[in-house]
Amino acid sequence: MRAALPKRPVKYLILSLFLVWTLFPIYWMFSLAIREKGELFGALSLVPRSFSFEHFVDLFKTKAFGLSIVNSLTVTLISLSLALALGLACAYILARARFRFKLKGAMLFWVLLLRILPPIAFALPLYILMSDAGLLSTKIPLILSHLLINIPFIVWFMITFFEALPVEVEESAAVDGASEQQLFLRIVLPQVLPGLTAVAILSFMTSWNEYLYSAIFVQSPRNFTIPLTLSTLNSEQELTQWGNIAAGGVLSLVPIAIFVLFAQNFLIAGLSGGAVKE
Amino acid sequence: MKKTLSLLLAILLVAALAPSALAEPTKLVIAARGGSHVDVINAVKAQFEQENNCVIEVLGLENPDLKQKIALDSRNKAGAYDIVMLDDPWMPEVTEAGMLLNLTEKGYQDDADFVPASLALGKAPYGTGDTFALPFAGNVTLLFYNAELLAGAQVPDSWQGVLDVAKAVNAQDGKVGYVIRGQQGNPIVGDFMPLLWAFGGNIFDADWNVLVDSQQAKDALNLYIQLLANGANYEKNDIVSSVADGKAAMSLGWPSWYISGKASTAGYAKIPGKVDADSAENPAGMIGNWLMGIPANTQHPDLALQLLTYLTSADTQKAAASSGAVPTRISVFNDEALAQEYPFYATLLEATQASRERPRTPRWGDIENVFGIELSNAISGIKTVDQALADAKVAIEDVMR
Repeated sequence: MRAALPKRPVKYLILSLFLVWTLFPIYWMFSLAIREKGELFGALSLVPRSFSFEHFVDLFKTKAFGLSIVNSLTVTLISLSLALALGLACAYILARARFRFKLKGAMLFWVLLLRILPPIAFALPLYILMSDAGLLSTKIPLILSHLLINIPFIVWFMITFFEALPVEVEESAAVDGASEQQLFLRIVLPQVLPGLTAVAILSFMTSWNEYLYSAIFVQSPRNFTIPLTLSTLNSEQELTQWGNIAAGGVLSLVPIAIFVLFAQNFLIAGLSGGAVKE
Repeated sequence: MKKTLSLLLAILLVAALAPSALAEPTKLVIAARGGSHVDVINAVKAQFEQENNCVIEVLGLENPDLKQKIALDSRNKAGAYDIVMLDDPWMPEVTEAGMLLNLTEKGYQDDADFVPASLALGKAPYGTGDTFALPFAGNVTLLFYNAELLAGAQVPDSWQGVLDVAKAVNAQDGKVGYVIRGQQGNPIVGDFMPLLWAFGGNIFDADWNVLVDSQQAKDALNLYIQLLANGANYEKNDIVSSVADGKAAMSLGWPSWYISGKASTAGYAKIPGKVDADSAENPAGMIGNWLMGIPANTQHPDLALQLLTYLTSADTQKAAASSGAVPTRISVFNDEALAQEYPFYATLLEATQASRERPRTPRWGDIENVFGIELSNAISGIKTVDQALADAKVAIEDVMR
């Protein structure tokens, strides 16, 4: 015990430094968002000398930021729901190798390939497809492109969780008369809740912050997502509106924070729930 | 709970699938540079909408996204946009690719009221060909200065004069003589080009031979490095705040960095076109107009041309001045009431008339990249001036090959 004591201050010091390193950008964003415009012009102090919500008001008044939030939520929630439904089912089937033919390796590689290739590689073909289908004036291209990003991630993330499950539980449930659907929804999914929660959080964040496909597919200001709206606040021939960008960043953090807090409960419940029947 | 969630998801799904244009009358879509340009268009569009029974939607985008969208949409048979905003260096690329409607062939007659340097940007080939785009927003780089730090000295009209002032100011009470914008790519190239032109240099000659290793270019880059030695290298927001706050004496910049509405946060003047008091004057300010063209695949070519004419008309430019629009017409620059309200118009007109355009090649973006890397190498001391410019020449020749 005594031997461990001298290590503690060093440990805490390192942890504190790491914490400051990690949290400072978030503090700085908050700090820029609440300063008056005048204070952002010139040398900046570490601690704000003024307090104002003018950047937040400006965003909603002049940049239709409320609509951007609604659009981001719409695209993210729909694409996340679909990606989870398709990705989880796909991962489960691949994990249980219910194929008679030996294509599991090739299929997994194919799924991974979608994740390995840079997103821009899909941009032009997808644009042509969506344009020919007459879908560019809707949010469908955006939702589909987010599926393209998230489904491979969900499959690869969840496959190890499914493979780690004892197959006996499913077999005994099947013997008890559970259908495939009941088996998957009531027996398998509750056991992988921690993994499901983690992959949902990560996919939500990916979709929420996605910029490239938004910039390519969005054809109307009424479909602007948050990252797209914020990008227009910086241009070569105008000064960067750091206050508005920071305020937008703060606002875009809120749904993610709520989602993570909400999902954390499920994460804990999933971890402590226990899955295998005694 | 499940029902509520299902209902919410269903509502969101319907909202996502519904086309934006549902139950709307015919509309004209303008793909524009986001920011103040969108505000300006929105401020003046109502009259045209009323007179022509149409709805105008303005899609404001960041520079690279705007260019990407214009290029992507050009492959469609029926284009999504009726008017597109174009940064003037994009013109060779978009006209060579046939993306724009030929306004001259469509019956448009050039208007002599436009500043010639601005009107020339929208022609293909540059200055002499048919008109493909009209100048919507004027812009040209200027010399900005802090009058207090100049301490009564005249605003320098030569680069040697700029250097002398920078030397006199620099390091006194922590002040900075001159601020360069030395970040790689567009920033450093845009900041250096006026010096290169003032020294009589250029990137290419008339036959597209690369000239960046010329003696004029070496002299210009040496002076640029001396300016840095008597100043600092900042990002644009810091440049503006340092000059406006009296920390730095001078910098080059776009007017909209310093000038907002009627007021300017710093003094402004045409960029010096001379090396020293005895040398010849060269046009040195870099013109950077935002143009408006009509995509070749627009579904409403006639109405789009009417709208384009309306948005670039003298009356609209006058009305848009209060929204921060910078004119491109001589009559608007010289309008007495406006000139009184916006005193920088006179300097802007003079600078525009004595401005230079960036080389008219579709590969300008790539050239800016490779040239910017070598300029950055030179100012940071990684390479000598001679070596950096020799390497820049090879790199630019590779781009042009």
